[in-house]
Amino acid sequence: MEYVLTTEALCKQYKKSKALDELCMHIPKGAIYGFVGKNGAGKTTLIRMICGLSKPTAGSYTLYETDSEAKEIVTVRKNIGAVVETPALSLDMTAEENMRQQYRILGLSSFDGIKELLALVGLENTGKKKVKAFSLGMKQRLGIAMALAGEPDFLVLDEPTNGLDPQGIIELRELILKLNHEKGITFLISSHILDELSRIATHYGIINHGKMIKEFSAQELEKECGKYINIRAEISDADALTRALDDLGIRYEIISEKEKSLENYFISLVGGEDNA
Amino acid sequence: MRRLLGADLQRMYHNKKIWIALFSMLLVAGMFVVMQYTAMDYEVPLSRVIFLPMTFYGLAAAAFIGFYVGEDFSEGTVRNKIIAGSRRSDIYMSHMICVWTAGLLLFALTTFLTVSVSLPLFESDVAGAEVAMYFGLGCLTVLAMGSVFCMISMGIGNRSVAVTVCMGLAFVMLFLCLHTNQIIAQQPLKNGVLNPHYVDGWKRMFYEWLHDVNPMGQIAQLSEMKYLNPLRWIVLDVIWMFVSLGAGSIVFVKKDIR
Repeated sequence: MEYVLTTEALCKQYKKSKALDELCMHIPKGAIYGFVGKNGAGKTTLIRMICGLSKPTAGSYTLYETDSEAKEIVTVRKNIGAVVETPALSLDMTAEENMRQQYRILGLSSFDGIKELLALVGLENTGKKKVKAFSLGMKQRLGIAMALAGEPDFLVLDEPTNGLDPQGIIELRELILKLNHEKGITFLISSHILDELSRIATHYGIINHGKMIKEFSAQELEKECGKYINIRAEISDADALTRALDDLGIRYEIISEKEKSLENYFISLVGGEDNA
Repeated sequence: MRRLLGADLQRMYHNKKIWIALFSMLLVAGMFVVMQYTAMDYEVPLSRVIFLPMTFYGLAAAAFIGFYVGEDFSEGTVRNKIIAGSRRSDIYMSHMICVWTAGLLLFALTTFLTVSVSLPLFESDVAGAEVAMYFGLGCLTVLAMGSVFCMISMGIGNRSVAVTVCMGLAFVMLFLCLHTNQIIAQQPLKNGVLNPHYVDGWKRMFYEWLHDVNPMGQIAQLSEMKYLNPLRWIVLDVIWMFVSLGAGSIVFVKKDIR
């Protein structure tokens, strides 16, 4: 299997605490990798590290088969787009000016793709409105548009649904799926919202206290959670399903959200006592 | 490096704090000229007016550099540059060049305004070449001061803390300058008798050196158009620039970015 990112015994030690503890991670090319963990588990620390914002204290990672210690890693990182925690935007500029800034930083010779990218995230009509007047959802979408500048192969989104309204969450989900299916972009998404994550992720990694507890695919998750019945969203008429099941004499319990199972699975893996 | 510089200059153009600093400096310059013209009961020579507004430059520079550089961290845009594959040393250098550019712009426009307004109002006691020489020395001071504040702001990586520390340092430099200036200004004789506060020998050399090493001390000399040692002034400013560039780059390259 071809991997975009692998980490080997990655460690990050701050003065007294260990943010990452020999973390091993494997993100296959083309995957939507859901990175799940409690607050302070080490998700953002890892994301910062692969984005080059901080350095590991031990261990290494490989990005597109380039070792983190190699000089070429700086160039390889150009294949990444990222929104780390909050979108990085100049608040005194408009959406288009921010995009132009990103194009300049990337060294792109033409600003041609800006309008398309803004349209892709639904910000084509913001005109001269400064970013400081944007809602959180608009900033998040602009952050993603900026991350998409330079056509990255690998997009890292740290808590992308934070502060988004339900409509914004749906739009973001559709955007991620569209980019993954149409452009083959690999995603690393850290999120607390397991319900949302399980709608799109093809692979998962569960992190706790800086350690990778388990990595598994969506198929493996299905098997692990097989004792539950998942009512998928594609079934528009739930009554029809229940009637059919009744007719067949099958006993059932509808768990409205498949993600409930992932949530339970997550808690069973990392321990629930800290989650109360 | 060029692409980074282009982006940083663009950000500077959009940054209101730079324009507020410029407006404040021009306002201070105007006020100083009016005060010198109206409030003094003696004839003020042009040499005492041209660079007088620069006494406020240190505080203005500390504020705008802290804000401008700190904002790159607080808004997170410095992350975009690193993720986009820019070398950290280039990011540092680009900030430094922007800070230098803004500083020189502030200095040049303030001086231009002061000279333009003062020429018809005050008695001219200086030659153009002398003004040009002091302007050159002032440019070096602006570059040295910008380098130090940029190093601090890049090292701290937080807008509010950077502004606070830079302003604090500016005040420390200002008070140190007032102290050294007071000592150096003493004459050997006062009212015909020996002045007990007059210092000479190695003590005087030390205070003069301290006055020169402090960019605010240089500005004090600039405002009076009366230097102590121009060569030492130049050498110390170049040292400030290189030390700030070297030390700041090393710290920034190793720094974890939030």
